[in-house]
Amino acid sequence: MANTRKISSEGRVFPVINGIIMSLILLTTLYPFWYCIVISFNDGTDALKGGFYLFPRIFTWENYEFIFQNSRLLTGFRNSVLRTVSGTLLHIGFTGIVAYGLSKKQLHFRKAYMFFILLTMYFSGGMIPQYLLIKNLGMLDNFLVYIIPTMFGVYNAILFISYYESIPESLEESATIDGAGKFVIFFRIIIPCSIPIFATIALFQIVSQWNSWFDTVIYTRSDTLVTLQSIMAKMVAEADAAKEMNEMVASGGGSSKAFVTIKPVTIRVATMIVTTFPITVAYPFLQKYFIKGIMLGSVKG
Amino acid sequence: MTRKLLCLLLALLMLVSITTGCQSQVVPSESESESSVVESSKTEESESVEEKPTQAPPSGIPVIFKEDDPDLEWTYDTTPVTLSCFYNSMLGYEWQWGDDEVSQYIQERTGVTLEYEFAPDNDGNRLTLMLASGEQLPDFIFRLMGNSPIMTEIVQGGFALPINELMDEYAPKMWDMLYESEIAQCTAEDGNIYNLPTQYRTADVLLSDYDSGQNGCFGVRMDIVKDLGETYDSIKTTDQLIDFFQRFKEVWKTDYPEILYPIVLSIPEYASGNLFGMFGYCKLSNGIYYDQATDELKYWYETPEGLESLKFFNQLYLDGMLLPESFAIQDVQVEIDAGSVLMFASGNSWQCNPTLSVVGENVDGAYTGILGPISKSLDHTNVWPVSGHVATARPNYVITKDCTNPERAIKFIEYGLTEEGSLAVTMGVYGKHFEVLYTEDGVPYPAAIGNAAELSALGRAGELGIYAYDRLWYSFRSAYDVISEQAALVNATDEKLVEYNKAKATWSDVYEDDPPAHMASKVAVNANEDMNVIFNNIYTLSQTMLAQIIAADNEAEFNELYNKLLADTDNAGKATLLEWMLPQVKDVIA
Amino acid sequence: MERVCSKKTKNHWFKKEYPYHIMVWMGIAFLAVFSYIPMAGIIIAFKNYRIGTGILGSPWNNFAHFISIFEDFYMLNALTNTVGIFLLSMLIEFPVVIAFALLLNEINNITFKKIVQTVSYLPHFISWTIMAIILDTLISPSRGIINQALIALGFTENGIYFLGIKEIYWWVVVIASLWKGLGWSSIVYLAVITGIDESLYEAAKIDGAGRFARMRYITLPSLRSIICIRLILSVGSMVNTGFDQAYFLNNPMNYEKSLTLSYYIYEIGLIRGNFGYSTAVGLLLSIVSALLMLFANGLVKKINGEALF
Repeated sequence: MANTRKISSEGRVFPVINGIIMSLILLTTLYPFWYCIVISFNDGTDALKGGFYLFPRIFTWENYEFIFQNSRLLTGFRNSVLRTVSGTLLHIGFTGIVAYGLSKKQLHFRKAYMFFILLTMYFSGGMIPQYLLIKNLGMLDNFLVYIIPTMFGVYNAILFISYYESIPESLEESATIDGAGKFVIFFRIIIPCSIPIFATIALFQIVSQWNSWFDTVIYTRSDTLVTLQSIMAKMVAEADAAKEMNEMVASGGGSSKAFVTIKPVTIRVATMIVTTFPITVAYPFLQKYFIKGIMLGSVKG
Repeated sequence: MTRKLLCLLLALLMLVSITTGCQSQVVPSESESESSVVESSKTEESESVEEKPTQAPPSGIPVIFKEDDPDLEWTYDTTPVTLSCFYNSMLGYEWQWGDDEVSQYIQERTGVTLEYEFAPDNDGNRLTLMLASGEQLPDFIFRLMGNSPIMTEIVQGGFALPINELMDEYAPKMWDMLYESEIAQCTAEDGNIYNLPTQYRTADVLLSDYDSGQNGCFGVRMDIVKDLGETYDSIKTTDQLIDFFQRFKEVWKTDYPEILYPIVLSIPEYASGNLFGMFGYCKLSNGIYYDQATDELKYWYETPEGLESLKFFNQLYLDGMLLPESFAIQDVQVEIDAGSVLMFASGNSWQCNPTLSVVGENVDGAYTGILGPISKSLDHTNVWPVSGHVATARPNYVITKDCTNPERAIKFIEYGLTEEGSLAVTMGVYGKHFEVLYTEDGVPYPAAIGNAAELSALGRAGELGIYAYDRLWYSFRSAYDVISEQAALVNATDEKLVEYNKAKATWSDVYEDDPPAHMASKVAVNANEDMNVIFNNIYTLSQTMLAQIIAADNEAEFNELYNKLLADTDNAGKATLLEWMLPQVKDVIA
Repeated sequence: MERVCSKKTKNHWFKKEYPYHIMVWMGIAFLAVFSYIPMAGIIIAFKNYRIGTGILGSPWNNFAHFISIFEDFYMLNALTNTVGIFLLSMLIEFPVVIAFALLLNEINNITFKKIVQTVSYLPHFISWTIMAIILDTLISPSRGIINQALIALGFTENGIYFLGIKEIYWWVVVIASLWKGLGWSSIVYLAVITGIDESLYEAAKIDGAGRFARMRYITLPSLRSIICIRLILSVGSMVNTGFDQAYFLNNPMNYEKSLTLSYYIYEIGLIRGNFGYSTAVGLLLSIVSALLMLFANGLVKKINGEALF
């Protein structure tokens, strides 16, 4: 939505200063990421030497070659996309609705409900009981383990609630008078008004789902369920394992040059780039929901 | 019946040799009977090999060590069977059984196909969950670090079959193949053996490590040393070393700008006392040693010599030679490879063993070890290094309670302990990858054939694709280590040989007679959770405090921090720890 | 909010409210299964748990683990560092992130705004292993550009080893975390700001309110509740923070100041390998977190009038 505000009446100094500050922030936050891209194209051994450089000192494709020759990459990508899309939709739908119910201040037992829910944020039985639960639910080695346990998030629910509370009650009241049921109100009115928060939580969930790898490692065994992140994590861990092995080998007097020409550092960075790339592409699509200017015309009157 | 008697006799003789061997494990055997029985405390001189062995066992490899065992016969059921195995670590690259010639060979000889499942991460979670959730366990579990908590869980939780029973029933010969110290250290409280280590090395192997400088040493860039008019056996005292650095400082920025760190000190190694060994003291494991004269256990930095070494490094720091950030270098080898280090102090000599030194791309000279010790002072022939763990610190394996075929499982392990099995995983297929040759003294050793001969032992393993085995399952028996060394010597060029012998002669300079026997041995102390905690706390304290002590800016600060170290370690429970350790140490020494 | 206690009205509220209850109960049921059932495993904290004997079979040792915690050598140290770093980051991060969100909002050029926004959250995706490397390029004594500048200007001869000076370690961590998390943390605030009715701003402008006045009287108040909630939740999760930074930035020189609770617990887990003990530590910390959260909640309620719950 085009911004039609005129600058002239506001003073010219501030925008300039703001621009400078923002530019500085832009550069400093861009630098780490740029540096990562540079490292990922840099030779591994050279990268270990550290130092500040703006372009690869020894350019190479080998880091990416190493990643892309992984046979399970396509499967991993497919699974990652599937779980991200389905997991996110499930999450924002489920959490969004539950949070709406909770957001009603006059709700009886609200305090009890909140207490019940908040408690789960702090107390947990640990890895072993979780695993036993998943096992008994039959979700081991099953795609559902990626999207069902993540359906509800307490932290996100709280954010939802906070946002819902800022929606004027008049909206809902007028709809109720018109005879709409609560669920209808939610879908027809609340959701359209809450696009920013839905987009935000969706973004959080997309990132969370996309970056998950621990659940793959713990709960799945089949090759068909690998995700992009789990492949990447495995590659990095293997490079570390090989490095450790080489050190042990060398300590026994052996040559350490026999294996692993790819260094853990560059692999780590390259895998990070590969997995972050889709997110950086996805964000601009969601971004329009964050730009000021959405007219909530339906609110007035 | 006779076999059982023979075993009993063997055992008795072993027992005798342990107790007499307590004081002098390097002393060549005096009696014939001892030499034919004990594998663990002999040097090659005691092996009575007068003529080359002629009898070959079924494997076709000439007999090397069992020539005096007339009953050696070996029948093997080669019916195909598949055994499953969980390897409790990541391997670092893709590999499966049957991928390479060696596993194919072993499969042919034993009938076993081993199905590996590798851990999906390095944190051991998969194994924990497998056990906790009551899943069907695989037949074997490998790479369980012997003194780790998960090992305790497995043994105490009844998840493993008693190997001793399996050995008694199906593979009695295996008893002969194991070291008695292995057996002793792996026997659980109920008298059974639930786990055994792989890659185990015996006392005399440790001794040879000792010889080649595993007590710690300085590695130095030889070209700079030569430029400054020194050789690596000309610097013998700490004063000389400081003087050397002074001279270096004068030309540092102008002539050698690529040097970022004049000296790098490995703090973890220093904290554990390993590095301290280069100052002329025996190899100290984990920093504790036993002083027989005063009947006390001490941490090395509590001694006057320890303090002296701290002051020495502090001096280097004050001179600007030891930079504080060198304590935090992530990957020292990278810096060494790049030639940006003048001298490094390491707990392990491999980094600068002249026959194995790594030459950086930009560096004209290699890194070579400076002959230690740097400072010789106290008479320390009565100290015993004390270790928290020995054989059980190695990766261990178990045969699980869900094993589908215990008989074949134990036979498979037994195979690995035979000459053939052990050589297969180190040298490859006999006749194809290696042959057996003999030194002038009639000592047999395996020699690689073809282009594999150019490589080092592990390089070769890499080529053959059998590197995995080195870590996977088999014990190496001490004689093989000696053999490997022989092989290296035979194959070394004259030049390298000179360097190697020079380095090897290092520690003999310190002592009039050969290194006192007791210095090579390690005393194993039982694992105990509470003591472990104290030990680790003190270790952490040592690391942090030592770094700060060495980087003290003046004498007052140095003394203050030093006293703080002593006080803090006391608070951490040092007295309790040493009190608990002392009787165990004296037990073993006695 | 008063309930009128007559039978008629009693039925009345339920009839009105029941859809909401259905909504909430969906969540309750979910949590009952996925959170409360595994929570039963917390009893491990009171047992001498061994895998062989299992959760139910292992013997009770009551509070033995908890006593060990208090006797633990580095625990106090870890606690001090965690609290210290937390307070410092609250002091610095909160205002800066909010200020950033506000300033970002004031950008007129949409393209520029989009770019800054997108780029600013990128560092969030960089894991701390890599962040440590990047930090090194800046502050390393031998190779970091800051030190190279300092050497060139003559301030120091060999470069200052920032990570070796334990007194400033907390600052290094906070600033590095800020650098990394700035963009991402601001997203929620931006979302809320976007939801503010445009007409309010128009009205204020007509009334003659300047840029900063608008910020003060419209934007900030709208952010008030989300800021409070973030604050409360942050306090509640204080004990869990700082693992990555401690893991990657610690070294023998700064250990005393870099050891945080979460990292220390991880170390304990490795050394002891005792699940009962780790669970006990986790339980204790959970209780502390929950109490902190309640405390913060009450405080905010007093000041603000309303809070999380």
